[in-house]
Amino acid sequence: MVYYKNMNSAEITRFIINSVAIFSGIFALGGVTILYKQYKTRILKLIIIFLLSIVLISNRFWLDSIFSKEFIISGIASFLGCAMCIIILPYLTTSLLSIKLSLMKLRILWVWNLLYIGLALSYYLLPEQALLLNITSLMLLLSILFWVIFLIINSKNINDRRLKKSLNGFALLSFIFLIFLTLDMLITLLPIEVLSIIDNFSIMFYFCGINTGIFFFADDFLSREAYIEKGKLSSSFLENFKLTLREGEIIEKVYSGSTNKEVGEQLYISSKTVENHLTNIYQKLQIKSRTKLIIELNTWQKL
Amino acid sequence: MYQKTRIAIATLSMILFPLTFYYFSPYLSIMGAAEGIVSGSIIVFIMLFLSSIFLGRAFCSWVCPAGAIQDQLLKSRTKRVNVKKISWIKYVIWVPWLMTILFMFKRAGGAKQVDFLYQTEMGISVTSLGSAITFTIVIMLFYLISLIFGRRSACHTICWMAPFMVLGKKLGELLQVPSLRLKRDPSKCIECKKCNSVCPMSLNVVDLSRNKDLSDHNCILCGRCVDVCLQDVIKIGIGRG
Repeated sequence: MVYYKNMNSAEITRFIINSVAIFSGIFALGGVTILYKQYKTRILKLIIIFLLSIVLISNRFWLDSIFSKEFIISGIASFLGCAMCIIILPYLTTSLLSIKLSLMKLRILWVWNLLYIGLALSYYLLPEQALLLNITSLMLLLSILFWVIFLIINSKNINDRRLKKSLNGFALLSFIFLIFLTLDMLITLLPIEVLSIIDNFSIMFYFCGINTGIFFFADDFLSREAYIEKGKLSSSFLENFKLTLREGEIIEKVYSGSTNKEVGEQLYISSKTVENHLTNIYQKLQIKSRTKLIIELNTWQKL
Repeated sequence: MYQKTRIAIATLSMILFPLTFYYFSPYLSIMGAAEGIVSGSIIVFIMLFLSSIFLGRAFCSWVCPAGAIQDQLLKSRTKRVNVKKISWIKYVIWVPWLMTILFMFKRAGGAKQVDFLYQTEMGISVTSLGSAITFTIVIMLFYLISLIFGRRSACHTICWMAPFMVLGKKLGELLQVPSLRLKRDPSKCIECKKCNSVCPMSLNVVDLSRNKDLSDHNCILCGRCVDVCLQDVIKIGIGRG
């Protein structure tokens, strides 16, 4: 026996958003798995687990939007997803920032995790206790909030430009989600007709954003090339920072270790002109010194 | 002394297995869950998880009756097994089993009561012909698997309690909780590989202990390698990883 819902327009919209969320999650999972097969690094493994947890959580919303019946298996899966998410999030953020947690912090973290799992399990076994549900949701929200803020505060230590950009996008997304969530909570207090549209949508929008973000990140990662290889600057680097060909030549010479004077002799220009060119390059790359330029060129790395 | 006490307790546990049989039962926990009852075996499994944070997998060699039966068989069937090749099988059994328990609890509408003595009579397990037959089947399963495939192969393949303890041990290791463990002084070792030949879990003890402590999640802390070592390389004690 299958219990389909008789959908009205709001429910159809909800179904479409949920479908986009779950399928984007599955596609992103596929993309990152291909990436992992190629590079086999820790961060990619953590991203895979994170995406898997999101897919597991969103499966319940998706099934809820189609059927009027509740599926026990999907409930268990979403519970598992929540637990996976809360466990993996600290590891993902700390390895993105390349921080090592001290033993004390690790212990506090695991006490928190075990407390969450224990409370969630006891809610599962005692469904009448609504207080447990509130506590566990609050804990999940708090830990997500904590790690997102932690990531945003520390994101200036990241060298990789693209990673930084995607993290900023993630921060913006989280901020929007937080606004939606507050509105969502307000709806239950103040019955405003217009606001009811966003009811139940906010979390799926958030998931959609994360999934597509990770998908494009993986795509970007696969197609990116080294800034400089065998002394040759890539054309994408020139395009990205709107550098001229002459500036590219100077960067190549500087990267090989020449001083301004030597560069000038090789290119038949004065060392003052080289200095001028370099100043322009620094402005375009938003850096201040020669050493920073070399670091910037070497930032292409496997995560 | 460690070895003698261990064997005495394990043998006692093996003799009493008909009485304690239901407290380790994977089926009874599902049956209890279907009625919304937290049965004795679930409580035992949770206790195993918690104890393994501090004691590792000592339960397997000190108390487990099925383990004691397989230890007896070690004298007639000495084949070593390839641990890496077969130890994933137990998770394939464990995960769906755990899912089934959760599923049954949800269907019964949550846990209604805790009954440690569920389905037993005065706490005694084998009281009827039916339960005696089940008991024999379980014993034969462990006996035959271990007889056919080699030392303690049932522990690697079908044991539903081992994953609890592996998880607990890994958690303890992660948080560096002081726990019962084997320690080793690699400088003394002459690589006679006697420890490898006596290990009931078919671990490569010499390779494992190249780095200072011997913490493999398949190690059951039976202490055989400690006894057999002529150079006193391996010691058992409480410490951090």
